[in-house]
Order: sequence, then structure tokens, then C-alpha cells
Amino acid sequence: MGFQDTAGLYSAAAALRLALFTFFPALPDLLTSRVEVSTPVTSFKRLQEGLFLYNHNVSPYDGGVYHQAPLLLPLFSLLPDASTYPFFTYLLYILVDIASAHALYKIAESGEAATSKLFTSARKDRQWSGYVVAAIFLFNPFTIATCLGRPTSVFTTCAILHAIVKAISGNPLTSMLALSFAAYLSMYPIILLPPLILLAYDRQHPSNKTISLLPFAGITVLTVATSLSTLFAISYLLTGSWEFFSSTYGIQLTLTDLTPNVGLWWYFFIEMFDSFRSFFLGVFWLHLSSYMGGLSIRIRSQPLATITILLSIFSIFKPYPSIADISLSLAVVPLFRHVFPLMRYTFFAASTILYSAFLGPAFYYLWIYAGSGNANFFYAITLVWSLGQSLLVSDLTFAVLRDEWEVERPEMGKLLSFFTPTVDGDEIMARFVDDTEARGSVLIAADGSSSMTLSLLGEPGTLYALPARFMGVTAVLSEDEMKPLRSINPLFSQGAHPGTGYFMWFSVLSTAETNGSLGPG
Amino acid sequence: MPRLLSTILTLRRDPRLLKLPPYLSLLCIVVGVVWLLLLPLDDYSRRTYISENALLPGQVHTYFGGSDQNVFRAYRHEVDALKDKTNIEINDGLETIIKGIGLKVGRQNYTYHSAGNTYAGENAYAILHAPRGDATEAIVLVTAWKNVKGEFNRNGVALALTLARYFKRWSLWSKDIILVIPPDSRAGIQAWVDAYHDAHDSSNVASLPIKSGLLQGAVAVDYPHEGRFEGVHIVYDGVNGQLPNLDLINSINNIANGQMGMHSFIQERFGHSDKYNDRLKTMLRGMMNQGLGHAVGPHSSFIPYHVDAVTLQPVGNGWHDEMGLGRLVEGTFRSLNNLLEHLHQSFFFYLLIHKDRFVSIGTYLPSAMLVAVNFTIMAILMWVKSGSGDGSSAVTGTETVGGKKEVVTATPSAPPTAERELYLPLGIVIACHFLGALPLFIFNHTPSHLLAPFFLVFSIFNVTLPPLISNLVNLTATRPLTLQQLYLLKSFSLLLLGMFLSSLATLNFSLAFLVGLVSTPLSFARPWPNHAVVRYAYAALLHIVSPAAVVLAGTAAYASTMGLGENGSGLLDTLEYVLSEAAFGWDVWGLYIPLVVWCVWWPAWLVGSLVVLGQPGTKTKMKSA
Repeated sequence: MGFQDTAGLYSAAAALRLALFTFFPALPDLLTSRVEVSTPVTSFKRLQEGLFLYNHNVSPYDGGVYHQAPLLLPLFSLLPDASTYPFFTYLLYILVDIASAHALYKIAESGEAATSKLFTSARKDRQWSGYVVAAIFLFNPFTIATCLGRPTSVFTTCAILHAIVKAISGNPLTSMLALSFAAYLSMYPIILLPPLILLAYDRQHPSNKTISLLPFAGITVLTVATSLSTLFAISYLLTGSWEFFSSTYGIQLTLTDLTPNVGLWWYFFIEMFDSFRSFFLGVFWLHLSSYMGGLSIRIRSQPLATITILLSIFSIFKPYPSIADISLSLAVVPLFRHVFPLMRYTFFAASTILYSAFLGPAFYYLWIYAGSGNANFFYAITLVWSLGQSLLVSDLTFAVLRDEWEVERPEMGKLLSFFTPTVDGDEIMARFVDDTEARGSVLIAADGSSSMTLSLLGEPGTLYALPARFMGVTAVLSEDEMKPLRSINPLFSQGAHPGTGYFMWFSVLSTAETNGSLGPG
Repeated sequence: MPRLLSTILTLRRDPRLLKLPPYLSLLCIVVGVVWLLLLPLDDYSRRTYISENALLPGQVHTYFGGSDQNVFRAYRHEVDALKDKTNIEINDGLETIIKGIGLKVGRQNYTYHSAGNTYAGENAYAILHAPRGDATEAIVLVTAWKNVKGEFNRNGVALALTLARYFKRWSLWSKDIILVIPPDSRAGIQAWVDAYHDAHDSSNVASLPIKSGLLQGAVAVDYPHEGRFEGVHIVYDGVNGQLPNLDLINSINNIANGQMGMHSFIQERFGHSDKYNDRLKTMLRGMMNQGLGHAVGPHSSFIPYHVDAVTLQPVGNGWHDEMGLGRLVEGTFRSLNNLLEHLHQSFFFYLLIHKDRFVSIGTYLPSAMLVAVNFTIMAILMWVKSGSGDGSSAVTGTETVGGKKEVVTATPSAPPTAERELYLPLGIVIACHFLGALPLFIFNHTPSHLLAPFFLVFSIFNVTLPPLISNLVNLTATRPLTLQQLYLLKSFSLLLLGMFLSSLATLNFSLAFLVGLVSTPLSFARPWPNHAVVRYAYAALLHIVSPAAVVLAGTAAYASTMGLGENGSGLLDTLEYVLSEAAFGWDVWGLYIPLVVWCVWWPAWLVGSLVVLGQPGTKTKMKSA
């Protein structure tokens, strides 16, 4: 599990990014100014603004432009100036991308997606290798565009992925540290804490397996609290005031900056009457965080699935989403390659996302540059964009649950796809649509009127309407009342009226209530 | 209800359902085209109207005339004296004249390189500060020294100078007036507009020394015409097919027809009968200009910056003199001067079928969308087919996906979903789209004298390319493309084409419609493994509608209308002209038509040809033999 086998992949990805940076020098700045890439809380341009103020010993939050974490400032002030020596900034972002990809590689190689501690999927052999998953992340156009646009959300992405890796490899404390860093940068990753605790708990080293979940959760929460407080304290020392709270997390909580983005919040809050604003802010945030509890409990056996679904939900419903978020959610979804055959709307969801990815910039252009459209054009497309993503995430949830259900009931829900004699001719092999198969000497078909077996044999079954009507009646009779009927036949009798052709049939069933065999219980 | 549900469910599994989409797709195309042809009828078009109340066109008395005619003659004399001088000398002369009027003068250098040619020059411009304004808004009067045809715009420049002198006397302007005199109508004005909006590449185009406020409108005067004229031709197409606000065109029509008693014309239909025939021709010519997206006058460069602009050209022989045109410009400027906010009330998307009849976007957009939707329908059908076994009920091929599928092929009634082999088709489609960068690069970086030979070589290469790729794929892949893979190939390609065209339809309706229309044969491309004749006939049909063939045919048609197509060298010259125009558009105006042709249309065509040439059935036989 080293760099040897992935070095080629990483260098190809780095070369592609460097080539784009070098041969299209206008591209990074173009992407940086796109609302799809940069949001008020991640924009690279705003970071430059904050950096300028910081380097001139003015509070970076004074301008009302910079809404990002204070610790990013010393990091970027270490680098040479981005406008004169952009190469170092590019290098940093490329390295962050590769670090994220390597984390993904390790997550995929661990096989956690299909084989967690409490659950093993029947399809676990159909997973993609870490190499493929990392390649999908690195060569995803959304990831590349994000890297070129240089929003600071890539650091959050990297921290989240490392938190997951560390949790899987049995380092709960490091994992919590990484999550704290992600939460410190962007706040919303704190919602990932419960499923991450579960994941870390399931994947502890057997040696320290003695404590139960609650104390474990206590310790991890304490770790997160401590590391977050430390980060805040450092931030306080850096900026000299607690102002950064309201300027970073406050902006996300109260949505004061209504710059358009690909999410659903901005338009809603532009239209909102001020008196309802705080109520709906509460509702929106409650909605976003409400998924955490339900998913963690329902998919308890697969914490990684919970995290994946939550990440996809964030990229739809968080206050300032961008394509960086969908690149993260599209990066973790391929870990669940084994449930893809169970997903039903992949084509539709993929087409919707693809179409809206192209129509979005076109409509934004009509609104902002050509002036011939208006805000509704762009908002309508962000709705479609969110619809595509919602389809994907709900389909994935369905597939994960269905996969679990099939393991719980292995015999249920098989659909025959075809059958054929085996090569030696001794047995019959039946294959099901989920690519599992069963062998036996006889195939007995009892699959009803629209029988697949029959249609495979070339004579599709149909229903025949009989020219007759039936009426059924049941009656509870005592033993004495039964006697005359029993005297005809102890079990059943039938007969037809010779004139009308009416047919009558009755059967007798002795039940436990009447024959006295009912036990005391 | 349950019965209805079960009927629907049975219908869902009905194999006949899979036969429906091709007809649906064809219907979409037919309805789309018929829709377009219906647009010129009275029921589908509307009369134009002034939507912005502040404009009040033709409601002010215009005073230009009288002694200004003498001024005009004097300026024309001055302009004539500069006629054969160099660009710098002309600008020196103009600067002296304009400074004499009392305006601030600025000059700007620019150099563009395209197709091995250099387009350099110096713009001269002057700003008249509004006595009542605060320099936050401005209106532009453009008179290029030479018009788009390269004719000396003698009267236009003289008229603009006269108007500038006349405007200077009035105190009613609330917006600054900028007079721009670029040396040509194509590169110079683009450099000026770019620099005005700080969107220029400062290594080639100099920044402007003086500026005014936000541009609210621009009128260009193209007046090389000598003597009296009958009416004005209003040219309104902008770069990349964007159009100015309809209110501007309406106002000018209103002033010209109502106040001046002049005729006005659009799209070179002089003598418009307002019957179906003329309306359709006007509309189609408008669509052609929009689809090509080239600059048709100095006003075109303003429109991408959301500055509404038109060019006025006097035409015909009548009784109007240059003072009439001057009054028309004055009236238009007085209307623009009234504006309280940017023109936004009226339409930006319209097709004009007569100077006072138009079709609005809601009425015409469905036709392009229907054509684009036909690709999406076929893409979905191909996706479904690729998943339903091998689709043997529709196509004759029998050997396919898995080895042990004899049983399945006999039962088309309940097709089980087959695993799709996505990677190879997806890879081919993506590779074809990236391959499009190659012709795009070649035709935008070749010196102009090599463009025509290069294009001919490319056209020949284009004919051999599909079989070449087809064989290459079959050689390198472990086995030839299966029917399922061909379906997926077509599905992805059409999905992308449908997506690009529906996005494009919102930006440039005509281009999307035209590309969609010539791409329709791609919808019905499919492999004919057992009919070599049909296969090659269809491949030949696809070659007729290939981008290269369409460009050649368009060039020939253009050459014949210009009377150049008599001999081969005339054709070659025209081809060189067309291609270098395209390269010029790409480099200077920022045209995206080459991108659409080479990175959207050409790859889709290439993949379509691959699908037709695919031989899933016969290839395996050849290998086993």
C-alpha cells in the first residue's frame, strides 16, 4: 500500500494540472471568479484580500470580504505572493489534491465500504480497487476545475478524507484531530462526527477493544473539543480578537452574504421577508443536520455509507455549496461500486447533473453578462442541479439498504435472469440479475403467471379467464351443528345441481378452539 | 385503477415500446422544422411596439439642418484631404478638427495577429461631456474610416464631425457623447470596446487614456453612399449572434418612418412586400447571420458587452440627404438621452421577419429545442436498448454480449438487464471530443495562404478517418465492438450533442438550430452488420452532412452568390477568405462558432460514422474463419 503503484497516477494527475496552469494562464483566474467554483466562504480572491490586510497588520475581517478561517493566513503568507509567483500556490493545491486522492486510495483498499465490522455485503468482490477510485477523483472535471479555481474548500476535503482513513486504520485520535481541522475550516464537517465515531469505534485495534461505545464517544468528543479549542485559541492569538467567530462561522450560520451560488439558500433568502429570516435559517440548518441522527442509527452497520450519504447531502443543502463539494461526494460514491447494479436511476441522475452543469453557466451568462435573462434562469438550473444530486443520493441510499436487506434475507428478492445447463450437462445453472447464481439437478419453476422461467423457455405464461364465478363463505359451527355435515364426509364434499349447473363444494376444518386441543397458553 | 396500473406495467415491458422512440424522434424534427416555417405567419408573430416609456421616439423636434449643411460640406472637404494619408496622419488631422470643436481627444493603438496576418492601427475618439450629466453614462457614435466592405466612409465621418459640433451647442444632454473613429470596422472598434471595458489583452491593445461612464447605447453610421438616398438599412446582428434590445431598433424605425418619412429596411430585403415569402427570407437571413455570429458592422462589437447598438446604412435613390440621416441620429440620441436605466424592457431574443413584425423567444425556441430533444430521446432509447439483452428483436445481429445467451435471444418479451460495458464507448466518445481540439488548433493557427490547401487535405483525411478509427479500435481492443457497445457509443454521443445544443439554443438559437438540423441523420445512424450496401449508403449520406462538406458547400454557395464560383481558383480564394474570416473571428471577436463546429458537431459526426461502420456480427465471423 505504498506510493509505488500509484506514483504513475499521481504524477499524471499533477502533470495534467500543471499543463493546464501553464498552457492556459488565464484559466485559473477565470475559474476563481466563477460562482460555481468560489463561494464567499471559500473564494481564493477573498483569501488574497484577507492576506493583504493580514500582511499589513490590519484585521483581515475588517474589509467585510474575508470569511475564512484565520489559520489559512499564516499558511498562505509563507508562500511567495500568488500574483507574482503563482507556481507555488499551484503546487500547494496540486499536492493537496494528491493527498486527498491518496486518502481515497487507502479507504478503497481497506474494503470498508463493502466489509465493515458489522456487515459484509454479498457483492464485496465487485468493488473497484483504490487505484480506480483515486483515478476517478483525480480526473473528475469538477475536481480539476476546483484545483484550478483554488478555493480553500480543498483543504476541508483533504481533512475529511484523512479523518476517514485514520478512523478506518484504527487511529481514532488522529481521525478526530483531522475532523476538528475540517470543522475549524468549514464548520459543517462537525456534523460528520457521530458516524465517524461509530466508524472509529468499529475499527479500533483489537488490543484496546475493552471500552464500550459510550465512554469511547465521550473520549472522542472530548478530543474534538480540545483540539477545536486549541485551534480557536491559536486563531485568537493570531488575530488578536474573537471577531473571527462572527466573520467566519457567523456568516455561514446567518447567510449574510447572498452572492449567488449553486445551492438553494441564496435565492430563498433574497426573497425572504426579514421577519421570517431567523426562523427559516433555523429550519434550513435543522434540515441539514437532521440527516445525521437518522442515518447513523438506520445504517449503523455501515458508518462509511452514512458518511458518504451525508457528504452528498451537504453538497446539495449546505449554505454555500460549490462544485468542490460535488467533487468530494462524487469521489466517495465510487467506493460503493458493489451496489451500483442495485441503483435504478443512474442514467437519469447522471444526465441531469451533466445537462445542468452545462446549462448553469449558460444561464448565468444570460443573467449577468448578456443581461437578457434574470436570476430566475440561474436559480431554476440550480434546482435541476440539486434534483440530479438528490436522485443520486437517494438512489445510493436505496441501494445500500437493499444490499443490507438481501444479506438479511439471502433467499428473497432474487430475479432470475436466465438458466442454462452446465458444461458437463449434469446440472442446471440459474443466474440471477444481481449476478449471483445457483446450481441444482432440477429447476422447479413456481414463479407465477408471468413466469420468467416459462418465458425463457419460449412460451410466456398468460392468465386464462374461466367462464365461472365463485363465492366463498366461512362459518364457525359447534360440534353438534357439524354432525350432519360430517356424516356426509368427514373432510369435504362436492356436488352439482343437475338443472342449473351450479356447483357446490365445502370442506371441514377442525380448529384448535373447537376440538379442545388448544393448550393453556 | 389496479387494472389500469397493470396495463401500464405490461405496456412497460412491451417490446413495441422500444420501437416508438425513433418515430417520436423523427416527429420532433419534423415538428421543429414546420414550426420554424410557420413563424412568419400573422398568427405566430407580433407587431413591434415600444416597450420602454422613457424613450419617447420621434416626440422631439430635431433642429439639425440649415447652416449645418455648410459645416458638413466643409468637414467633408477636410476629410477628403485626409483620404490617402496614413492612419497616424488621418488621426492627427481628425484630432485637430475635433479639438477645434472643443472636445477631449484620445487615441489608442492596437495590434491583432490572426492567420499569419497583422491587423494594426490607431483609433481616435473624443468625449463630449454632458452639461447636465455626471459622466456616469454615455452614448457612442461610431463612424469607421472604412466600412466592413473596405469602402471609404467619406460622408459618415464628415456627418459625425458635424453632429459632434452640433451636439456641443446643446445643453440638454444628460449623458456624455463619445465619438469614435476607428480606421476600420472590424478590428479597431473591437479593440476600443474591449479597452473601454478593461477586458483587453494589454500586450496587444493599449488602454484608453480617457474614459466616460457606462455605455448606454451606440449608433454606427456607415455612409460611403454618394448623393441622395431613399431609406436606411438597420444592421443589428452582434458578435456570436447576440442581438440589441428590440426597443432600440423599434425607436429608430419609429423615428425614420414616422418623423423623417424615410423607409427603413432590415436584413438587406429592400422592397419587402410583407408577404410570407419575404418574411421567411428575412427571417432565414437573420438566422444565417446569427448562426455565423460574425460582426456585420462596427456596432457588432458592442453587443457582447451588453451595449445595445446598431449600424445605419443609407440605401437606394430617393430625396433624403445627409441632413436627414443626421436628424435621424439626433432623434435617436435624444431618445437614448431620455433613458433612466439601461434598455431592458423589451426583448433581447427575437427573430425579425419585417421591420415591424417579430417573433419572440417563447414562440421560436421550441423549434430548436425539439430538434435538440430528438437527440436526447434517441440517447435514452440507446441506453435502454443497450441494457435489454442484445436487442435482437430490433436488429439482426445474433452473436453478442455473453457467450451463453442463446436462450435469451429467443425471448425478447421480457428483456433482462444486461451489464453494460461502459468504459470503451465512454473512452471513444471522450477521445473524439478531445480530437476536435486538433482541427480547432490547426485552422486558427495556420497562415492564411495555407488555409485552403490545409482544409482540402483535412476534408480528404476526414473521409478516411471513420474507417481508420473503426479499424484501430477493433485492432487494439481485445475483441471488436459489440452491438451493445455501439449502442452505448451512440447513446453517449447523442446525449452530449443534445446537451450542447440545448445549452447553445439559449445563447444562439440559430446556430443550435442549424447544427441540429444537419446533425439529424446521426439520430438514425445504426450498425447494419448484414447489409453492406445500406451501411455504405448511410456512411455516404453522413459524409454529405459532415462539417467539412457543409463548410465546402457553404463556401461554394457564397462564391456563387458573389459571382466568384466560375472557376476553381475563385472557389479556393473564397475558401481561404471564409477560413481566414473564421480565424479572425476567433482571434479578435471571440467567436465561439469554430469551437461549436470542431468540438461539438465534428466529434458527434465522427462517432455517428463509427456507429454506422461498426460490424458487430460479421467481424466475429471473420475472426473465427
